[in-house]
Amino acid sequence: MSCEYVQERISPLLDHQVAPEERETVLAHMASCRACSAHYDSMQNLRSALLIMDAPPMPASLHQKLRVLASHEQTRRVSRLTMAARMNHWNQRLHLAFDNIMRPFGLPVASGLLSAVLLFALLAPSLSFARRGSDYGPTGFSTTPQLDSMVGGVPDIPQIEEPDSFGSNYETVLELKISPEGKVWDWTVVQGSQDLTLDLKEMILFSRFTPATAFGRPTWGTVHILYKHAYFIRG
Amino acid sequence: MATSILDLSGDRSAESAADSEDFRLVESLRCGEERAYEELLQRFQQPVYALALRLLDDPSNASDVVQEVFLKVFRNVASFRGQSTLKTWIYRITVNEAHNARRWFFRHRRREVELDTGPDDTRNWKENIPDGSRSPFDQAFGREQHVMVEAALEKINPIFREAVVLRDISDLSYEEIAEILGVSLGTVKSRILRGREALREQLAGSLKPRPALRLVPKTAE
Repeated sequence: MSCEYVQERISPLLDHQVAPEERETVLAHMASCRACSAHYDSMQNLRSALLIMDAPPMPASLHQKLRVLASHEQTRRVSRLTMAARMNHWNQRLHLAFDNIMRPFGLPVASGLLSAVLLFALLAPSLSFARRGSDYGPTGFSTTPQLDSMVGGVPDIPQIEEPDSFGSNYETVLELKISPEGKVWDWTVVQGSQDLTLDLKEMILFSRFTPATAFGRPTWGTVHILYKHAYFIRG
Repeated sequence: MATSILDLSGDRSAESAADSEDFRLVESLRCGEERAYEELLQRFQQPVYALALRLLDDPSNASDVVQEVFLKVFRNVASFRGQSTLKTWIYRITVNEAHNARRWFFRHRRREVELDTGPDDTRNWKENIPDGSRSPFDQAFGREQHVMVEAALEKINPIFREAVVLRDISDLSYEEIAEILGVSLGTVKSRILRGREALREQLAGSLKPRPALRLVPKTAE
């Protein structure tokens, strides 16, 4: 039996993978051969060193990742067991996806809306419709003619109303066309007698109006004068 | 001279108990029981990581492989028929994934330089062997030997290395190794023999049996 043959049998011999009769032969050879015996010893030392190798410690991050993975897979498997579970799973996933998409927009949208409301509240007082000192009214709006002064037999300060229709309560309804200069340019009797009283004629001739405006510019406008016991102005 | 395989594993009852345990675990996994997932991780995460690390020599690659392995296990547990043990099945997936990772590494990442190292990776795992039960001498001796063997393992052919690791470190039988690697018993024997011989040559006399440390008490004069 050659040393080469015996040395090839040493590895399986350590693993008990050699038949008993062959094992005896190999062991007998090693007892008489120093080289094969040394080979056996070194192989046994190697095997002992390998057997007592410590397991490398697993990184904590990997442990966490595996737990997350297991959790996801468990949820996935449970969701596929029944149709109801599957539908519920997809519903939850859609809900989660929607939530994940909308969540980043939630804060910016809410803060933007709040800022807009606050800004509007701050600026609102400056957006008044009151006429300024110049001829130019507030831009971006159109206004109707306003009565400045009225002459004639008007007993009290004219009351301005917003009737839905002229109705039969009024004896006379006049429509005045007001020029950009604030003077009565033309008039027509909408309701009542065509023969106007002297008071009404004086009122038409000498009353002064703030002209109508469009985008801050004076323009043509009309007013309705409602007459019964007093004059009522309706723009 | 004709040789025959001796079956020295012996304990059939232990095997059947392990099989029934595997069967119960697999059934629980199929039903999606949370505890089963936890149990599977507890049983196999450490050995799978150790095996992957020794086959790849790179902790980050080994971590990726371990995740891939468990993903495949979780996804394919329904198709596990019990023709092999659960351990053998998982180890086979690990070896295959390690093969794939090694191939991918040689194609793509050989020239990459790792910049991002987490707190876990700042120390080499070879330098971090927690064992509070051993004496400082044993620890120092074990560490030195450990580092030498690991370095030698890295240098030998990966084909032989995986056979040696499965046999001598993971302590699997020849039959299990043949099943995991998908080769015949004769090939397993041959690979283990060649792997051990290659390791022995690499270590070349640096491995010695642990010297007995004797402490002789002396009284103060």
